[in-house]
Amino acid sequence: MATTVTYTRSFSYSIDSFSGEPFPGLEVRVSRPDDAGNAVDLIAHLDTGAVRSVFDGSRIVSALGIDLMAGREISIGSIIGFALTARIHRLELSHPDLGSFTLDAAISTVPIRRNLLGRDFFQHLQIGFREFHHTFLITAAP
Amino acid sequence: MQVQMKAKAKKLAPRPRKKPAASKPAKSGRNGLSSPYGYRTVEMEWMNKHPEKLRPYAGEYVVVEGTRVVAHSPDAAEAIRTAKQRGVVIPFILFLEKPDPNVIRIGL
Repeated sequence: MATTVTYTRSFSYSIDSFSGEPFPGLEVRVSRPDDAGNAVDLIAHLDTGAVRSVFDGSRIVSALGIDLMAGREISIGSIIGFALTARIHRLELSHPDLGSFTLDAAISTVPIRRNLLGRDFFQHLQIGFREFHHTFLITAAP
Repeated sequence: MQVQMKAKAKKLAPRPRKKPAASKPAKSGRNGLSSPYGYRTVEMEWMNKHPEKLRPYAGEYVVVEGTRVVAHSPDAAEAIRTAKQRGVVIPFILFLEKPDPNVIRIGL
C-alpha cells in the first residue's frame, strides 16, 4: 500500500568543516523547562539508531545550571557494548519553525563529540531522509 | 512536499535594498539547497561557506556568533564563559573534531 507523507520543511545537511562531508544535523536551542532564560544553541545529529537523545554534558551542564548527578543514572550502549554513563534530565528543545519539545534526555557525564537526536525526538515529528540529495525533510506532526 | 520554489520574475520595479545578513537563508556548500529555518541560519551559512575559518580550532569547542568565532577552548564551559563575558546571551557552541581520514563516524 502506498503511503504519502507531506513534509513542510526541507533542510540541507550540515557540512563538516574539515572533511567537507555532509551530515544530517539539526540546529536546536536547549534549555531547562523551568528556566528558558539560560539556553545554548547546538547542532545535533539525527540518529535513528538512538533510542534516546544524548547531549554532551560539557556543553550544557554549566551553561544551563543543571545538577547533573541529581538525574537518574543510565548506561549508554553502543555497537561495542557499554560506552558511557549518562544522567537523565528533562530538557526543552526548541526550533523556530518546528516548535518546542520536552524530552527526558541523556546528558553525558564525560565530554562526547556529538549530540544525538534520537527516537524520543522523532516521536514529535516526521522526518524523511534524502541521502543522495543531502537533504532531510520534516513535518511538525507525530 | 510543500516546500515551494519561486519562479524568477522579470524585473518590473526598482530592485529592493539588499536584506540584512540575518534574514538570509543558509545554504549547503555541496547541494546548493537552502535551509532557511533555524535560530542560526547566518552562522550555518557562514560555516558551510568558510570551513577554513574553523580549521585552526581543531579539537576545540568554539562559540560562533554571526560570522566570527567569539570564543574557543578545549574546555566547553570555558568557551561559553568567555563568550558570555563578550556579550553573547545564548552561545552557539560546537566541537570541532580533528580530521582523521582513517576514521568513519557513527552516531555514538
